[in-house]
Amino acid sequence: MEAVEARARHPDEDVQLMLAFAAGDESAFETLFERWSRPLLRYLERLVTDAASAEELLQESFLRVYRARERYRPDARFSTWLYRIATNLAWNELRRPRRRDPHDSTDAPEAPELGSALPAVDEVVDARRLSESVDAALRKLPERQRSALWLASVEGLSYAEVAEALDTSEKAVKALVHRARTALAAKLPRVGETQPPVPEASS
Amino acid sequence: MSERHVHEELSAWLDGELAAARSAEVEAHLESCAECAAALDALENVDHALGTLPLPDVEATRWDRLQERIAAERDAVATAPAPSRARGAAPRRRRPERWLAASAAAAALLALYLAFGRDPGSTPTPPPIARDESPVVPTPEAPAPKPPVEVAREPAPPPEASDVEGSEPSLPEPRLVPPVPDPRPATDATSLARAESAPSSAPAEPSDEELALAIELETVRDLEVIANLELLEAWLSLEEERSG
Repeated sequence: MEAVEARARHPDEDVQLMLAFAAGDESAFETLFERWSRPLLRYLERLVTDAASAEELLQESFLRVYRARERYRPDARFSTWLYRIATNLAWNELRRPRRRDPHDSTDAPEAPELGSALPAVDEVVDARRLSESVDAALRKLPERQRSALWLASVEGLSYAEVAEALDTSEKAVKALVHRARTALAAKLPRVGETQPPVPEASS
Repeated sequence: MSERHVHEELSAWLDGELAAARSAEVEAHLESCAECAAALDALENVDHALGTLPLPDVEATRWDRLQERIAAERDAVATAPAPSRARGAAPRRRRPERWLAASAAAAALLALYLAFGRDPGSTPTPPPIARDESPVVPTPEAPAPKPPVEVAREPAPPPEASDVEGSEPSLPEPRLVPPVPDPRPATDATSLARAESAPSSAPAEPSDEELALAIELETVRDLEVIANLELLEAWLSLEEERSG
């Protein structure tokens, strides 16, 4: 729990900003956008298949925040609420009927900008190749596993917060994260001795 | 206790989500079990790899685009009631219709509450909010819409139970429903589509009630804060204020 708290991003400030915005301070909204648009876009880029959709969902997410400002209640971290909105939008987007062949899996990478082939395993895996590997492997996970792992590992949400964002139970989150992380571990090229894993989450 | 493998717990341990006692057991086991220690390395490698994914570039246009959309929405809300009042060939009794809209809203919210709040595993169909409101939209001289030539009519997407169990219902995305003339009674999706598109291009401007409800439901559907019925009460009291 300490690790999670330590990784938390300005929890109080975000809530204060949102309350200020609800009270009419529009600059607070801009600050929230500046603070959260890039992390949120990075998350959305992992959920949908092309960069344009991710940008569109980012816009839509903040539009929902704007619309809901007067009903906002600080009973959760702002980021949890924001990720919940974005996740719902992205999942709906993924389920929308497409013009494409129905046999086409929703999880198959389609757009060249974001989907990338799994590179061959080499002796030396530099950061860029590692990024590409993990990105491609992540895209092959079921969407709930993908969201759960991302929010827990990268965004530092607690399992309780992930459960709220994904509208599920903590127990389910624990299972989702475990399955996702294990699946990715099996697919990733092993890091050599020169590049030990960074144990940022361990105490 | 420390002789049992702890693979199942390693991910939660990494995330700091194990209770202290269990965490200590896992750590004790890791001291003596090379297999579990290797599994932990592999899992930590995943987090390390995820951490290498870069943040997207800053683009000033993102904020500008958002501002444009917000401005457009403000305009829509500000101007929407006027045309619907100004039109209407015959004088209409507004009060009962408002009541109707309010009760439709209540029914819709209740349906949402029952669907989402009580049984998150089900995939409810969109609530039929717009049906009772059809008399609000004036239909001067029976439009008899000609079906446009070969317009690929998007079939109402079924709330398909996808591979994901217990997830959000797949509600149709309102903005993408083409505003083609449709002989069927207006559905939730189409009325939302009208509410969201620019009033000038819409075939029939939504009434202020429709618009308010559509905006309300759009947000509510995503946030699922309907469990508190304050929203419903606030809405109804607003209605009373207006009509009283």
